[in-house]
Formats: sequence, C-alpha cells, structure tokens
Amino acid sequence: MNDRPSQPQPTRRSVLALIALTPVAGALAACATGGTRKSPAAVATPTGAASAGNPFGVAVDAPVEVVVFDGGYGQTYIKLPVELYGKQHPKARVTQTATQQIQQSLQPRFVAGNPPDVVNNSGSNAIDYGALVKDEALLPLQPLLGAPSWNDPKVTVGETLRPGVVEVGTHGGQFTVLNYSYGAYGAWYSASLFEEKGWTYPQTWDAYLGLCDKMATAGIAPWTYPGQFPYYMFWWLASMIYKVGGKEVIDKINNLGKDAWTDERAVAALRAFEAIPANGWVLKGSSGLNHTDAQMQFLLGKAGFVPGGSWLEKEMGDSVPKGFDMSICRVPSITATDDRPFGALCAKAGEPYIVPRAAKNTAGGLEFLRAMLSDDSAANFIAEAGTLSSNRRAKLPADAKHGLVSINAALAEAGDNVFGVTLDTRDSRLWGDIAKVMGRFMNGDVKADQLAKEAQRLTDAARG
Amino acid sequence: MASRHRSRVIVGFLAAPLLLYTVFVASPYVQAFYIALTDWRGLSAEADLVGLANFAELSGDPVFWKALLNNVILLVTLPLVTIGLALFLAFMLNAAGGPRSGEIRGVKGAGFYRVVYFFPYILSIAIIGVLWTNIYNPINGLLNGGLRAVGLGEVQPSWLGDERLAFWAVLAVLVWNGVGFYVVLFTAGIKAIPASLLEAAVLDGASRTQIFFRITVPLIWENIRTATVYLGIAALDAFAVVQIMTAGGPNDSTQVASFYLYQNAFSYGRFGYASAMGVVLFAVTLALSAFTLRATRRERIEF
Repeated sequence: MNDRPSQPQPTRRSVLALIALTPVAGALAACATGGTRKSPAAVATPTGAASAGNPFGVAVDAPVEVVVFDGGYGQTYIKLPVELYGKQHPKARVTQTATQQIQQSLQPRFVAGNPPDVVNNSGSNAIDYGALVKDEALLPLQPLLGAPSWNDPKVTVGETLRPGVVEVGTHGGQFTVLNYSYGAYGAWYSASLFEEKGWTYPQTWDAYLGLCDKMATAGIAPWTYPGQFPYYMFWWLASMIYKVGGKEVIDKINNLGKDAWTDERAVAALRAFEAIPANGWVLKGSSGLNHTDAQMQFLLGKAGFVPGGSWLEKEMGDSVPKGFDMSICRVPSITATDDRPFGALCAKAGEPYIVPRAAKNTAGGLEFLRAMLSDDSAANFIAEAGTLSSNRRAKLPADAKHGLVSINAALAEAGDNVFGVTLDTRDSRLWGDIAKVMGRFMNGDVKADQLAKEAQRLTDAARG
Repeated sequence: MASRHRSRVIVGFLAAPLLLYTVFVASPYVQAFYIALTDWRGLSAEADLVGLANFAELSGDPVFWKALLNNVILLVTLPLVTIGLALFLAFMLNAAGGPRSGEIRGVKGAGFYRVVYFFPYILSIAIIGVLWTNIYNPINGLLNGGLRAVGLGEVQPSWLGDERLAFWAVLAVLVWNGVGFYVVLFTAGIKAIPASLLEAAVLDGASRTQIFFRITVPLIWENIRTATVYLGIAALDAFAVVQIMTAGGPNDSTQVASFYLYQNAFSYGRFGYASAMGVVLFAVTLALSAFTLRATRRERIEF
C-alpha cells in the first residue's frame, strides 16, 4: 500500500506539533515587554481649579472610567457613587464596567500605560500588589485623607475612616490602596444552635475545648474547614496568636520577621488549637471541601465552627436556613498571661480600590473615591453588600442580618484591640505556602511545633 | 522558467502562514527566552536583566521539582493506562465477539458502548473538572455515597483532599476523559485490518488473546504511536484539570509544571521566573518528544 519509510515525515511533524503545543512560554511572551520606557508621572493631574466642592480640581468635563470587581459584594453598590459624582460634575461622563478577571483584562492596559481611573483590584484574579508597588504603578492617595468629606466639609475624609484603613492601604510608606469594605475575620458559630442546646460561648480555652467535647458527643463535628483553600484557617489561627502575643508578634508575622512564628507566644497559641485536630474534632472529609461546601456543612449543623469572615452570611445567601443566626467568634483566653483581652478581633478593611498613576484622569479618580466614601454611598454599600464599610459613620440598615449585627457589636467591644493580617497582600506566595502547612495542620499531618517551624522557615526564605 | 514559476507559487502559499507563525509562535518563544533572564513582573514595560538568577532559583525550588516529577509520572502512567484501556475496549468492541472459532466481530451492543465511551471526550474540560470535583466530594459526592450504599460507610476517603490520593484521582479523570477518543482511533485501525488475516489466524487455531497480541497490536502500531505522542503532550500539560479540581493542592501533591508556571506568572507576579520555567519545559518537551519517537520506532508492517 505504502512503501515510503514511515519515520522522517511524521517525526518532524510530531516534533513541531509538540513545540507548538508546549503550553507555556508562548502565551506568556505575547504580552511582553518592548513598550516605551515611561517614568512615573508626577502626583496630580489634569485639572480645573480646586475649589470648595471640588478639592482635587477635577476638570469638570473629564470622563472617569471605573472598573469594579464583580465578586461576592456584587456591583450594584457602585451605582450610587456614580450617580453622586454625576450630580456634582454634571458634564463628566462616568463609565463603569465590572469583571471577575481584573488581572487578565487590565494587565495589558497597565503595560500599555492606559489603565482606567479607578480599579477595584480584588478577587483571586487581582493584580499582585507587590508588583504594582515595585513598579510604582499606584497613585498615592494622601490628598484624599485631607480632603473634606462628601457630607460634612468640616470633617476630613480621613476622619471618617475606621481604624487600620490607612495602615492596611499603605505600601512602601505610601497610602496607595483604599479598602472600601470593613470586615471581621476568624470563625463563625451558630448562635441559634447554641441557644437550642443551652451552650454559652466560652470565655477561656479550656471551656472552649469542653464545649467542643460536648459538640462531638452531640454528634456535631466541632470544626470544619475548606481543605481546598486552607488559607481560610489563617485568620483564626492569627487571631489566637494575637490574643496571646499581641501586636508585637502579629507585626513580626506580617513583616516577614525573624522568630515570628517560632515566638513562644505564637507557638503557645498554635499548641492550644492543636487539640482540635488531635482529638478528631474536625469534620471527616473537610480536607476535600471547597469553601462553600464547608460553609454548607456548618449551615446544615454538621459542624460547630467554620473559618471565614464577614462575607460568609451574604455569600451563602438563601442557603442559610430560616432561623439560623450566625455570630462571629471571639478568641477565648488561652494562657494566664494573654496580651489582649477577650474580644480582641481580626478586622480589616478589604475590597481594595486603587487609582493607577498612569490613568488619564487621576483627579477624577480621587474624587470618585471621595464620593464612594460619602455616608450615603457607604450605607448603601452596607445594605447591598451585607458587610460593613470603611466609613465609620455609615448606618446599618434596619433589616441587617444577625451576623452583620454581631460583627458590629464585636467591633465595638474590641475597640482598639483589633489587628489585620496583611501578609496576603504583602507576599501572596508566602501566604499561600504557609496556608498549605496549615492545611496539613488541620488534617493532623503536622503538629503545632512543626507548623511554627515550617512557617518560620518559609518566612525566612521569603525575606531573603 | 517552469521551475521559477513553481517556486513563486510555493513562496506565495508559504508566505502568509510563515508570517503568522513567526509573529504568533516563533517571536513569543524568542521573547520568552529573553524574559527568562529578567525580573519582569508583568506590569510595566521595564524589566531588569538578572542573568541566570531565575534558573539558579529554579534549580533549588522544591515545588518546581515536585511539579516536574508529577509530570513525569503522568508521562509514564497516562499513556500506559489510557492506551492499555483503549486497546482493550477497542478490541472488545471489534474483535472479541462471535463464536469461538468462527466469524470475528465485536461483543453484543458494541455500537452502544462505542457512543458511551466517546461521551466524555465531547464534554468541555471545564465541565469535566467541575463534574468530577463533585463526584469526589468526600461528604456529598457520588463516589463516597456509593461506598456508603454498599456498606463501606467507614471507608470515606477525601479523594482530592488527601495527599496520597489526590494525584491518582486527577489521573483517573484524565484517563476517563481521554479513553473514548483512543477507542475510536484504535477502532479505525482494527477495522482496516483485512478480515482474511484474522480468519486465517482463527483457522490456525489462534485464541482471541493471541490474535490481540500477535495481529491486532502490531498492525495498528502506527496508531498507538500517534496516541503516545498525543497523550505525552496531554501529560506534560494537564493544566486545566489541575486548575479546576485541585489548584495544585493539597500541599502541592497534584502540582504540575504548567500550573505552577501559571501561578508564578499570574498569581505571584513573577513573569521572569515563570518564563524561565517555560524555557526549561521547552527543553524538557523537546528532549522527551525526540526520545519518544526514537523509542517507539519500529519496522512498518505491510498489509
């Protein structure tokens, strides 16, 4: 039939096919370097004159482009600030779009020097902040803090912000990221279940473990967690470390410090938690669950505690059974010499907004952020998104859910005993690597001492 | 004159594809080699040359080695299992039925099975990933539900959450996804084998097993070779299934080079480092494909 020797042709072709299909290098380079070298522009921009109602001197007819992350908080909350901006500057056109792929859709525009004026750089596809900061791609937002607030000219925008908002948004010494939401992190329990069983929320760790024992006896696994995303454990474990070790230890962890995780106070906190996996108090199969699966187990009453933050109540939406009242957990007292009192809380501003330095209308970007931080926009955000806002003066809606009310109360109780985890934005790689070890800690493969050692080893390696 | 005319035609036909290939395939490759020598973070047009620092770091990156090892394991197991299974099924569907020493045909209902086996191949890889993530769900999943139903309520593995199981669970999905296509491919090969050959073998008293190993496999060797190359490519990639099902976890037990590269570029903002990985993978792929084609070289059988 065919007397041609079979090798040469297919060989060459197959090799070429393999080369063409090597999945990697090609895709990367397509958007690569080669543009013109551009030194970062000076801080301020195009401009009409600054005046009382126009602190940044926005050119009245300059369009503003806003890109929102279409995630758990939805995107409807942005309509009000768009409207407010339009009322203040009727000649300006505000275009607002939404995407879940911030990085994929905007990275090329950053490279091309043509980014939008306001970007909600959030979600799992956010552009890495380390890279943004190193490239000086972000406009410093200090002018925003000193500007009069939207509702009350006598109060500056900075004075309306909750504690920690500026710190969390400060990278490389500059306040460059405005985090718009404000949330508590840690773990949730079911207040309704506690009431039904006659349990009270424990004040000490011994009582906490006693409660876990009661849960296990009642056929409820005390803990579940999303094994596919072990970083969910980070906030709760950090809360316990903060309770014992205070700001000093947390700062070391956030700043990639020496002897951070291996600090004896951190180790004490981790050892305390070790009892949970050691006693088999983690719902079987948790290691294979994603976050919604784990949260569902919690809502179904199969697990007593689930790690997570403010977003959980809204995220689970209609899956929350009627009469299921969730409350945020506060860390019980672990040692006799805890640095922080009961009620200390992991709370942080989230949902980051940035103004790219290379944007066409950076003054408009700042003005838009000011509109977002108005009391009305913030209250609207709380109602729409079901989480608190960075504006401390914004009111909760009358029909606020149990979890949200519990966070508001917990924040009031915590006062200044509040800390934030910033390692995730500081070094996303290290954050993920430590989280992997936490996953192994939860399924019992790794003990507290090993977790501390390994997390420190990773931290030291990342610090370089 | 004629030859000049001919060469003009050839150039005319080749120019466009060659240009496209240069712009969209060749030039990105060249750029990747350059980017691999920089610390480019993917945001600005600026990048500093760092020499071979990325490669030095790569050689000491345990996750990369783990990912590469997983790729190598896939490279061995995926073609072996998929082709083995596909050959077996194709043989059953085409040549395992019929009376012991009579006419050779497929088992009963072969047409139906053929369609069923091909189904997974039609589904988009994203659907397959989500589907199997749910099947593997340790609490609500079909698999553990099945185990409970047959009285194995104590055996409830956390398929994708257990470091010892996750990789094999992912491999099973890759096999499930691919086997239908190769059944069809091998079926075509088996159908092309002249009936007289098989009849002669039957008359000589060959068993079905002997027919399989002595006649079918040698005569469709070219198809098997092609399948090996394709599956080799799939094994070196495996990106989609890993990203959707496990994101490389738990604890990097299902990490593969392509996904780790993606993470470094798009999650950690280290395009330079990721490009260095791309360059290493390029070399590995090239070496492996040359090796595969050499190793599977055989005399072609005429029939």
